[in-house]
Amino acid sequence: MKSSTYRKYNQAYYEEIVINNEIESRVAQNYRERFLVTAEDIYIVFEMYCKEDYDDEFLRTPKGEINHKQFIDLFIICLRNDSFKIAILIYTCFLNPAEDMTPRLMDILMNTIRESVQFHEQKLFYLHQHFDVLSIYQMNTLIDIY
Amino acid sequence: MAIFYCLFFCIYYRNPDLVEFLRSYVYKTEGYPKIARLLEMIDINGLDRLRTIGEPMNAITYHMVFYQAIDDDLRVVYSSILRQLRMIQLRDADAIHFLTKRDYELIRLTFQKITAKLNLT
Repeated sequence: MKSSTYRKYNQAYYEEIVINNEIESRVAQNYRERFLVTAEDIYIVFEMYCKEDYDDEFLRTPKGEINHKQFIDLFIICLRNDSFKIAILIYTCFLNPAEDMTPRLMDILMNTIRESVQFHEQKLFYLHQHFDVLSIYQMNTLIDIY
Repeated sequence: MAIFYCLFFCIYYRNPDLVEFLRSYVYKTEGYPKIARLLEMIDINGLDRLRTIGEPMNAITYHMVFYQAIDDDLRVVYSSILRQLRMIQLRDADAIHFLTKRDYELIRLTFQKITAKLNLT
């Protein structure tokens, strides 16, 4: 039951129902035309895509309303929820890795390594790619993790 | 199942006399298990408790009727329950029903509701 993972019913809840069930495409289109209109509604749905790693839907949905800061927030959601299919899409298409990969992001990344073993090779890719961002303290933490 | 919904509206509008009439009718005919269950709930908890929003038994009773009404496509029943309850547990089938019926008014109404976790299917 999808509602058990939500605190309140919102646009993302119904969008997830549309994705996970065989809803007729016209029904889905009518729903989206009415409920996924404002930038805020679209962002709520993108948050859900990033939590659940729905990469096909992420690619299909227009992203004109999403600004750069929101993409960084979405990237953080992906890291925290092991949604690395979307994470690599955001990283390659919508972030400026040299500037956006901050020590805070590296902290979040190291936490995910500690908490889950999934997508380990991708986590190591980000670590190696941005090793220069790590502080001495973070390097010590990294050694502790392994 | 008409008796089932009659019993629900007896709770909804607080009509103990009609409950007694329906009870004698149900005893004379072969009733559905759900009707017997609803009568049992009325006997144990009383109409007042069952219709008080916030009581645990109210949530269980209303959800039982809500799910049945969605399955039977009775909008009058499920929309009135949806308007009453503040916390509601939608099954995936309920959300699909709202979407396929293009019931955007009720979808908007659910946006104001908090999800509940009940041991009911």
